[in-house]
Amino acid sequence: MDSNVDDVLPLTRRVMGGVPATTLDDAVKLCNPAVALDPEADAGLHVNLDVLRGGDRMATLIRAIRRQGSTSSLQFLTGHIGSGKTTELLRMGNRLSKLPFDHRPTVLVLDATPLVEISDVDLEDILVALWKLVADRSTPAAAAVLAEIWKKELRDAIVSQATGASGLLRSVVDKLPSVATEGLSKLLDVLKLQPPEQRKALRMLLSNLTDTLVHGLNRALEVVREAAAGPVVLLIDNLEKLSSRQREAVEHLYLERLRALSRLDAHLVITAPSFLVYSSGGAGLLGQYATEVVVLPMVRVRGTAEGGHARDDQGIDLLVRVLTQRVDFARLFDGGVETAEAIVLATGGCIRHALAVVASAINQQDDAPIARTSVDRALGQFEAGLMRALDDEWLPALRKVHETNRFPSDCKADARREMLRNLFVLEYQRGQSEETFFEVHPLVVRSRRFREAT
Amino acid sequence: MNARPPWSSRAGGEAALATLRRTLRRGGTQFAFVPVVVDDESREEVVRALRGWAGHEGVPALTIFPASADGAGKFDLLLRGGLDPVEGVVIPDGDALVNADEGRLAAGLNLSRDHLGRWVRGPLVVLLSDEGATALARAVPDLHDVRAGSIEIRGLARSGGGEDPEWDAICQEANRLLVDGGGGDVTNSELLELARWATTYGNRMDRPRRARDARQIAEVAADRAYHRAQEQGQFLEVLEAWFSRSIARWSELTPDQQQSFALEAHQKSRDLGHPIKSAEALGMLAKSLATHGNIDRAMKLIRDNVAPAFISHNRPDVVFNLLMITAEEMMRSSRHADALKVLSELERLDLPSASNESSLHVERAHAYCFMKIGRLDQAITTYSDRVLPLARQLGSTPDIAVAERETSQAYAMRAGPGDLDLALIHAEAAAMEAERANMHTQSREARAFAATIEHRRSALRPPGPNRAARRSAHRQTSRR
Repeated sequence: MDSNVDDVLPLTRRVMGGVPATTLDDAVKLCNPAVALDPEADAGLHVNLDVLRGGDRMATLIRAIRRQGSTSSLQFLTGHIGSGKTTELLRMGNRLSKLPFDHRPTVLVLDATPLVEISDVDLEDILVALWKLVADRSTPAAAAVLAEIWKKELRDAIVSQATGASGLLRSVVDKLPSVATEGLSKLLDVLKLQPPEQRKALRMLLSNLTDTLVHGLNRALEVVREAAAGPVVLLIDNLEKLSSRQREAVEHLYLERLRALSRLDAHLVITAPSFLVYSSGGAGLLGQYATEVVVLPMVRVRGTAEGGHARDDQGIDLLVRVLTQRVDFARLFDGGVETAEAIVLATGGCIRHALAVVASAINQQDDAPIARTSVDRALGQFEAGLMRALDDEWLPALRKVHETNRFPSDCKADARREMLRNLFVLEYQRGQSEETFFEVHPLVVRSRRFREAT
Repeated sequence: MNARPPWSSRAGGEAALATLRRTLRRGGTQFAFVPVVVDDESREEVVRALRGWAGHEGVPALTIFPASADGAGKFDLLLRGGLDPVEGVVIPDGDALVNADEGRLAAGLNLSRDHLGRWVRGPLVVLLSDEGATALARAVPDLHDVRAGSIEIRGLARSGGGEDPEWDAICQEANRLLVDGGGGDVTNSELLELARWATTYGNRMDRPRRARDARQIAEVAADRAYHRAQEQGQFLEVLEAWFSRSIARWSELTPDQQQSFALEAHQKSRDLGHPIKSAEALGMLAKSLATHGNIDRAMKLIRDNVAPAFISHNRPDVVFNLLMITAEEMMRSSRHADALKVLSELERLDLPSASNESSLHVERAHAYCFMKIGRLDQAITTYSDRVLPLARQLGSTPDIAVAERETSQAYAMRAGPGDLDLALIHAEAAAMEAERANMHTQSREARAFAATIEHRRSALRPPGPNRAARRSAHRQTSRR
């Protein structure tokens, strides 16, 4: 598997005393919510939660890729912030790379963030980023194919399209290097760093060359496929973080423009914003691409309102294991594993929130053991941080969700999307046969604003 | 609503500052997003502390950007590769970050979350106001979700000491019970005691912000006690806490809400067989009725139901306090005639006066109300014959100063023969007593008032007795 993801030091290599952490300093490092697990180096920290998430959802994607073989496919992965999309996507890439030789695909991961201007992104940006990815990270033969096309076709086509463009854009295009990787970097710089008008002008120019871009990529991918005797899988991560301010533009990109990517001779798995699944656009996403959208739900720690919000001991146990594999609770926390359990219950199955609370509780004190009051204070502070984004107008709907595990029918799509996006409402699904249900984040439920809402 | 915890006096602020330092030290050279909510008074001191920690004792070197919109611009430049990567960043004006470039910077920041470590190898500390923190949480949900803690630092610049020892003591207790957790050993009764104390303080406080802060402490303490008692199945404590919480919020409730709460509380207390609580609830109903224009019904309720219950349980002080608080509330809303009715009820019930302080309190309220409704003879008589002697007997300089000042006002209002002379004498005495009690503002005001009287007096007739003669006259009045 090759990717353009930063070469960050895996978590387990950042600590002095091994895992689980037996010192407060190590524990804070291992609970940094900003760092995703490395699929190999951090395998010891990973806990398989498939059984609680409606089965091995990534296996569904892997099976689809294996069965379709050389026939290309386009699939979407979505889920809450912090549900582990990146972790699961990277693990999926890792699993694909370890398939038996005769089924083993070539996996390329495009992390959208460093390559494109995410608050203003379109199909052209992604195509150029994919060209750069294949040129830099796949086989030399494929890179050579792209270099050739760039030099003989694409660069000249871009220059000729620029006739009549603004002086500023002309000055950039006229000086496009003839070396493919340098030329692509220049285009990406313009798409990411230049003022909006110039970005727009370049995109218009490139939109006339979409066929050339797709065709060129397909020729390079063919070389990769032939060399590896297997399909190519392109994983595009982080595209779902597109600004929600431009919701219409995002819907247009996913529902209309990304259709061009289905013409690539590869299996594509793209992360999608969850609101496209939960809003009317969701049906569009499924309808447009005739594919399955895989949703990563939160890990359930309590049951539905109908069952009296009963504890889900299996979920709790597994999440406690997520924490205790990172931190020696018996040694560092008053109450030991019971404290870990309290944190898990209070954070509603959000692994990232649980980790953040552990780290925050530790930072309340200089020395171990961490008192229960420090945990309470950390939870209180986390609750305050969470509640900041909560709009009072949503409180009645939140109460309904808590009572029925469903959004009320009069809840507007925008409000629903924001409640999910900000994790005020969490989505759960236990077994694949079990219906999805929603629940309000426990820290919202315990807040005074929620309790006093009528 | 982002409630500002008023108990976050300097001690609370310093505890939060220590948490910030630990967060930076333990995070080391690993990217961490650290939003910090600060009040305006504390911002400068937090930046100063960060500057001092940078590069020492495990805290990474911190690049502190300018404390203005320029800081956001410079950060943008860093993210675009225009600056070398840094070990850590402090953005003193995070609010500017949210709005920079019409939100584009925030959108880019959100998307770049997983790659910020490329430019910022350690902590990214963003100082925000309450409003800025709310806006940031909404603008960058993905980044906000990986925050390393939610630290709030307030009150670092507040002196806290000496100005009002009772308030300092309340804050200290609130810190102990609500922030520090009382060493893990907090009891419900301690929380409820704090709620009562802060409510009482807030009710008599005439500085709106301080009163609001006190009520907030009371509400939080009562709320915590309520939930703890519920968890523990302590139903009487639940009831007690429920009372305390509602009392703390009393002034924010509409009259209907107050009265329906009181009736519900009355019923619940009866169901639990708690006659004192039941009477307390009726007392609250009476207070609400009185405050909202139904004074006669309120007084009847107190006379027939509330007072007998408390007196039979040897708690006449509760009735006394209820009536005094109600009277004061009316005085604050300039309903002095109604306040007198309440005070008359106090006389009618003939409650044993708990102390000379309480008597002084009642007499002064009487005199003040007489003065305000124009019954100046009665006001002057009450001040001269009862208020001033009681204040002098107690030896309380601030009370003497206030009584002198009000006596002076009453004489000046009546302005009969010789009244202005006496008004002047009492005004000067008020200034002198205020000076002795270190009430400098009141002293200045009393002197200004004396000057006004002097001016009026000299405009009306030839100069009166000289200063020495006036002092002599005042001594004679005092002896009476």
